[in-house]
Amino acid sequence: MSLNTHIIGSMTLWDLIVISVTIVIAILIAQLISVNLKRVFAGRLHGKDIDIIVKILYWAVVIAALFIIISQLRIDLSGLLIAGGFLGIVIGFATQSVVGNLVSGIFILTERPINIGDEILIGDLGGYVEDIRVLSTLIRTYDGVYTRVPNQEVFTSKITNYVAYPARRVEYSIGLDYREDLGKVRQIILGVLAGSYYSLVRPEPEINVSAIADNRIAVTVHFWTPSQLFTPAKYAVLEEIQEALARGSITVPPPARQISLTGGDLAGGLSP
Amino acid sequence: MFGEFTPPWSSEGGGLSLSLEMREGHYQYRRVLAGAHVERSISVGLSRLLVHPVEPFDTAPGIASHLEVEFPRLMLEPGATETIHLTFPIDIGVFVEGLRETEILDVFSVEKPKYSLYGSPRKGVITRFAKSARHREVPAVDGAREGVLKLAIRNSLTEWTGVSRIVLPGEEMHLYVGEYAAMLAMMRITRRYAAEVTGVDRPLAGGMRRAHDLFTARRIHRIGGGPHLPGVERKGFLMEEGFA
Repeated sequence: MSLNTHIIGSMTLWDLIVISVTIVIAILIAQLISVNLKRVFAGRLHGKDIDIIVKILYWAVVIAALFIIISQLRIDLSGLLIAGGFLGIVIGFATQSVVGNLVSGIFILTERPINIGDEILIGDLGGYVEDIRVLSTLIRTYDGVYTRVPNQEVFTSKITNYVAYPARRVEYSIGLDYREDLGKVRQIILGVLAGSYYSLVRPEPEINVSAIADNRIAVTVHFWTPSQLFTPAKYAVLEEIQEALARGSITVPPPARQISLTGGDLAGGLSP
Repeated sequence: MFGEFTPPWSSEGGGLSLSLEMREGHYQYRRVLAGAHVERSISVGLSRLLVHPVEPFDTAPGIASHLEVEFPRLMLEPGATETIHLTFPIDIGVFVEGLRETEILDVFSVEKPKYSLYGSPRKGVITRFAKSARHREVPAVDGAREGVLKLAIRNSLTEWTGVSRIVLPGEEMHLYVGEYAAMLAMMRITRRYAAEVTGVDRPLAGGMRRAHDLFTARRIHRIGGGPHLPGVERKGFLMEEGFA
């Protein structure tokens, strides 16, 4: 019996071998993809979401194998392809956003610009990442509102992750009277930072004169804090500094303006 | 103050007061520290209270996972090994031992914690920071505040080098307890700015027992595995951002 021997109708032995090998390879590839995808996404996605992705890819492999088999059987698919083409366009338009969100979700999960629990800003939306799903990302805003953002929007927006790095720098600008002893001010503020729970030992805090304004000297204070503590640190340390400066009789001058009038009759100019 | 206690029990000293007494059908745990107090009610199933030193990371969970101790610079000649003793901050863990399970009841630090960044703001790690004097022998310590770290430092370079700090990850801290907490560690300087640090799971002195391993227990619980599991290799920590 040769490979060209017809077995069923026009199907030859060679066709049967190719079809059998294609089925086996397709099943193996589909299984391999399933197992590896489950491993890659385990812990990153919900089991339900993993199942959806795995099923989509599994069936994509099966359909590809089916086309190979059909072509091996020399079945004319031109009519089916035209109809399939139209159907594909319709389905493509209908599922455009779904596919876009799905692909964006996969990119977010692999690129990992954000993680669950991170404090982030996506476009204008700030808050904490509650969950990253296959089609959308859930954000809990600062005022406690549940917000679902489609993954395509997340992926194409500017993302700011406030806790991606371990430490952040806090900055204050403090206005001081010209008569104040800057050495004493520096000593007081450094003392506060040295004793503060929030201020990191390294990188070391910095205190610099940043401006000589019309009625005050501006001193800029920089210190680093663990990223997760940035917001409480910003408020708590400023309060500690204010209290310490007050204890050290350091005054923060109120805004003042000196107005000089030249020429004319002052009394007449001010009268109604 | 460390040990296993059966109620009623109380301990007081150094501004810290701990007590466990029966009140209205429940055990009442009370901690008073620097004017602030914490109270917990426990069911009568309680059999013992365990007060142990724990790794100093739980007073602000999730902030730091490494301990950094800075000490006066020690110069080491090529190939030399030097053993020093340092002090480090501890947290105190209070555990309740029931009929079936032991559970953490309270964790606190007598000292106000201070943190630092080891490495760059981009890739570094937040550390629980402390300064220590360098001692040749085991120093006297206030057991409620600090423990003793016996550190062996080996200079594997072919040139003199100076060491003034150690960074030890929580999973490398093997705390033992007696009158005070203690642990052992080794530091091997392998490159000009890098050193390998490994914790040694042995007591500092006879009569010391293993303290409750809170950090490792939590990590194992969280990720489903950990450095103390059989068959899991322990790698230590590479101080790549310098040690001087």
